[in-house]
Amino acid sequence: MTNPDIEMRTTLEEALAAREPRFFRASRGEAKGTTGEHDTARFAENLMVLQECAVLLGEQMEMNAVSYGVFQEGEETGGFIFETDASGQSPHAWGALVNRRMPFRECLQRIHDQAGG
Amino acid sequence: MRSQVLQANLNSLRKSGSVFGLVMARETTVMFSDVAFSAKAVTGIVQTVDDIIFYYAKEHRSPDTFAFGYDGGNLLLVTDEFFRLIVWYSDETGIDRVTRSARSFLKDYKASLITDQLEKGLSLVEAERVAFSEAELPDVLDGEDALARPVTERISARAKGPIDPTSPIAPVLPPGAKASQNNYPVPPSL
Repeated sequence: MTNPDIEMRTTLEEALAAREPRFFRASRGEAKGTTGEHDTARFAENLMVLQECAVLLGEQMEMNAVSYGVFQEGEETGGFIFETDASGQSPHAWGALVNRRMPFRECLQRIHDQAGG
Repeated sequence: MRSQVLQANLNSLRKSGSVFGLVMARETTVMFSDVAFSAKAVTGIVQTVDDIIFYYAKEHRSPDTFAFGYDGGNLLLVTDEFFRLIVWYSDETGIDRVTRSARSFLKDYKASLITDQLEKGLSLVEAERVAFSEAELPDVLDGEDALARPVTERISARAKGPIDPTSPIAPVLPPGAKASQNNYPVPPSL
């Protein structure tokens, strides 16, 4: 029998040990990930704050369409990109957190690859 | 760093790659600005950056580098204590090169401030104190100050609110566009 909690914890531990990105998706008011509730909640909060920062700066510049946001803090890198379905009616965010200073270009590319780009 | 050298170095950064705008600030004081926004807009951007840094400090966090993609270009924000460098650039593929240049500039600038004081015969400790004496880090314990920052309050409210990736941010992709590997941060021709 497989315990989902153990699976997610193992996934998280493996990602941290390998310093590989953990990927998440947010849409319709919720975030989803494969590394457990706590890690997903951390991503969700980072996503919301980063989005708001992007919007606040965009308002000052009169640039309102945000396509991505990334940040580095200590030995952590995180970010998000927007995707939309073919109809353009259901935009959602893909994002990642990784426990190292990953180059932004690589971070965005890895998120995009994960999003199925 | 003498003001002429500062300006020359910033101009050099300004002309590198696809950079099309640059602002340097010490907290909310604009030290250098070469960007196609009004002085009022630049002041607003610098104030917003300060509020963002304040928000993170209040949360006992200290991110030092941000980058955002917009329909009109890309924005890089590099912070080093109370110094902020904001760089606008069009070629998203050069994001890491621009980041390295900006961080290197800030590091050199801070070192030069200390060197200026060392040349006056001060000890290293004293030189560091004098070099940065005009600035103060955000007082994260001052609740009244936090309340006086509507931008910081707005970020706080959003952080605790429900996840809503659709609002108020509109995706840059036009309706009907098919997602592909290269279409997320395409900067417009400038």
